Amino acid sequence: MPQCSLGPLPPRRRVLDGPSRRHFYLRNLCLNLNLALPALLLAPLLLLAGRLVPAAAGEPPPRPGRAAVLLSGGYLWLAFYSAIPHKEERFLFPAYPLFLLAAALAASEARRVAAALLARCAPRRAQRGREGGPHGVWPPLWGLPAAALAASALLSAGRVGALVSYYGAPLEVYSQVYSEVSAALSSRADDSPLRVCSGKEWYRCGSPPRRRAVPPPRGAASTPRLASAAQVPLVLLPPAWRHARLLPRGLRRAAAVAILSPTPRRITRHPRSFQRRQPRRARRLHQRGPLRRDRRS
Amino acid sequence: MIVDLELPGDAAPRSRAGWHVWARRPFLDADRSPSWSRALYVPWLTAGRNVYANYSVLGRQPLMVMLHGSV
Repeated sequence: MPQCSLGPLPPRRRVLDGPSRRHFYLRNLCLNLNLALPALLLAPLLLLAGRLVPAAAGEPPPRPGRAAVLLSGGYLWLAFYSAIPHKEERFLFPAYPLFLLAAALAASEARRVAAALLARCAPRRAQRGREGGPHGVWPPLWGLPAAALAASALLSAGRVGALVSYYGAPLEVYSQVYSEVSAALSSRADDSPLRVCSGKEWYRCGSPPRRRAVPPPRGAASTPRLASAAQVPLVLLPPAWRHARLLPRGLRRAAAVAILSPTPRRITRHPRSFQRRQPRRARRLHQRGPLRRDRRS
Repeated sequence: MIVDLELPGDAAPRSRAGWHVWARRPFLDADRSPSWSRALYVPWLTAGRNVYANYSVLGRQPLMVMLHGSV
């Protein structure tokens, strides 16, 4: 089947999951967090500066140490995955809550620091702001949080729209074909599956691609992109086949491994260490065959 | 059934004789679209600047034959 659709392969890349540049995740966060990204990057500075500002009467005292412990996980995550050459957008998803928390804390500290600076530099203006507005800041800054929120929401909506309208084709195509074909499949007499050959599209999982990939080399001992094994589309199979029976055992195990670890891992069929770990006695029994079965029962 | 993205940069024209299109949607060709317009979607502004390729599902029979038997 592959010859009919794939043709000659494009020139092979150096590595299938090749290295990306150091700042891949920062550029990616520009798109996904937009205005929250500068706040995230400035959060350590702002937390330090906020420590110098005494808390106002009604506010709880600042606890930058606690925030640092809490937020350091996000920065460590970002640094760790930026150091690994193989980068994917989804590897950062677990740290997004921490990123956004850091950005929110940074924004809150920025407001306190700005209010304190204003009180020191222009006391009369600050007094007027405290009397007139809810935030205790200079009146022209009152609308700033709302404006930033609105701008961030607009940018995020633009990004969501781009993902849906530019890269939504695989989902649309699958769902259209599924809705049309599934009824016909279930009413068929034979249980033979409708085989889906995704060819060079095997790695597409709904997020925009970093690069085009080539299919794994024939006879390779390991599946190169284990995480993709879980994405092999099985939706078009008739009900009896819907479980992962079509996947070879190695792929199925790879899918289980991929859920546990986002980084690809080499799996060899018979690790030598496993063979060595068997005690000598068991190996001898194994050679004799029938005796071994007797002992076990 | 084959799922394929038909990019113009691919090495050779594929022999599609004997295959029928079941579904086809535009999919952004990132190599030939400007980065600013593919990063964000702005109505009436960005979609026209991008270049699209066909993302298609192909089958051995026409879809109507597959669904209703021989027509």
